[in-house]
Amino acid sequence: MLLEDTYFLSVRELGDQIRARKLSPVELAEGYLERGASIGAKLNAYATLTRELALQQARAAEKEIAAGHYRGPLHGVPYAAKDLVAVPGYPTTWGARPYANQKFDFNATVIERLNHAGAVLIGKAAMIELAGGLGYSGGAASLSGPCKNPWKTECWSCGSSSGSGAIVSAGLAPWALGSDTRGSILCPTAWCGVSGMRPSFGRVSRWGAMAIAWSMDKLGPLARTADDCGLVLSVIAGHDPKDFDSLPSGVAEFKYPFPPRANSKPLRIGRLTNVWRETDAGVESAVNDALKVLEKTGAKITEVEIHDEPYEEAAELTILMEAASSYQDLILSGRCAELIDPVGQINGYASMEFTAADYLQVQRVRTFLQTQIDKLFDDFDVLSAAGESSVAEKLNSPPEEDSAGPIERRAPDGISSLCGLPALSVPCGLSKDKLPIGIQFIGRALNDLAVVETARLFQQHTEWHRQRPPVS
Amino acid sequence: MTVSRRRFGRNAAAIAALTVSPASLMAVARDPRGELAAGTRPLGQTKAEDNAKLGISPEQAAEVDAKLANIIRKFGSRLSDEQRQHLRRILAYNERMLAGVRAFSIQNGDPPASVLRISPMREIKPDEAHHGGSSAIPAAIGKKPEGVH
Repeated sequence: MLLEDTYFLSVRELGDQIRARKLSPVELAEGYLERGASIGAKLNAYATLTRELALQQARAAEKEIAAGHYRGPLHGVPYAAKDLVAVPGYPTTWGARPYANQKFDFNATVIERLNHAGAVLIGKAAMIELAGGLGYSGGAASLSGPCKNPWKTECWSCGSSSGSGAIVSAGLAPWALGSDTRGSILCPTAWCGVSGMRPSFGRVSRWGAMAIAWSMDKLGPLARTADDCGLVLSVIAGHDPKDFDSLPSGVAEFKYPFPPRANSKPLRIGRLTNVWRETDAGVESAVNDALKVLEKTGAKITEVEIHDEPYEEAAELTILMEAASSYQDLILSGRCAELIDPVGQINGYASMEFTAADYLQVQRVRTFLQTQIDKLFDDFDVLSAAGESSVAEKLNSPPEEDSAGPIERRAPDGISSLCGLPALSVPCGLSKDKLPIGIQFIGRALNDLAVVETARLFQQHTEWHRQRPPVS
Repeated sequence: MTVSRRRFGRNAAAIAALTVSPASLMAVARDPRGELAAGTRPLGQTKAEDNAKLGISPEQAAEVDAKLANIIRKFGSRLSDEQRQHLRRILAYNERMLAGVRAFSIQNGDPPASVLRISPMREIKPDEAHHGGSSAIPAAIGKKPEGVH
């Protein structure tokens, strides 16, 4: 029987113990499976536990390590994968009723990479139906039921990587794979009080993963620390000729130095001041306090504003337009009516009304917006803002009538997703209701290392990432 | 509160639930010919108020209604009255987003952020690059063959 503390160790700590043969991968997998079946079920965090596969992989890892064949830092370390990546032998439901019985007979490329690294798949993480690809109204829009936040179970864990966030937060796996088209890693990361990273577009192959919007979809890790995010990314990144948008060989790989490099120059952080129109009480002060911590390490913090351009519109429209194509069969057949959410049931019809000229206009504007944002990184290593504008909302929050209000054109998730930029959110405080607050760091395209190193530096000087939710 | 992808979904659902069914909208939405000009509607005042609430101009409202009519022409048998109202809200929001993008000044030669890759599924071997006579191919996929600078 493992101590509860073990389930909250980082990937690196677990890997070190496994390598030193102080920790049995089989015992660890069994423990996480048990937690997944008990705590995970209460939270609706898992779509499927892959018990047989997990134990098979854990036994193989144990045997190999005992024989002196150590594959690397993920060898024998459990993880969960969002239920939109193909794993043979188990359902891949995309979180949606029309695909409840869907099975694939191949592994997604990212799963193949993790198999090569000797990682142990504990289960498929719950998610919002179609990862919100056709729109949704809230946490109930999931085949697995609403995913509850381990910090307060009447609250939502956020979407669409809802299960991935809750799993890491509650100590049901040390890390989980999520996907992010526009904020679907960063939001559950912030609301669940974990560390999560959206890598640069094209760094991690999406082959074998459900597509929403080809020009915006990314896969990335949610973990306990920024260091773990870097560690996992170094394993899952790399060129894949099967993914049309995969970065080329020599570029896609993520080389992650550990221990950290000594910085010869002070870190330059641009504090985004006008990206959220409104934030919950305590959010901005927590972010400011976090930046003060970095300032004490020698970082230079400068306030910066984003120009008033249609970032959000371009991001949203790109997703809507590309999703109308990726889910065309579902829309035309009328099977979108089987989705749980009233938005998802009909949104595709509206999106089918966009024209090719609209799409190209958006993509032409996008090139300008990319250039404009890229220029900011001549002056800054990373940009920073709150991970989310609010703390976790209640699952039964009354809906708000505000769709006629101003569009939040400079929401950081819209900007960075549209431009394919890496971003990493880490916990930096708790609200007065004891709900996590996150700070995110956004880097120049392909400079994933800058966001990992900045967040890691912050976590070297703080303890927020060691806080545990009451449900664990 | 913000209007983002996730929240928009929430808002749209909320509005569908909150809106009192305007008879005018339902009647118009069912019109198979798509004759949806604002001036032809009964209860025009209600319609104008609806448009104002949605933040769309009369021109945008006309485009919204044309799109709604097209949806109903194609998929009307699948849609309840409540869903038709909901769709109009979604279309109006989409129209507002499009306005921001359409207003952006671009010139004829400004390209879209989409490209054709002529050899997407395989790596180019150094020999092919040399004999093919095009250094643009390996450059495009980022694989720099030996001897090509």
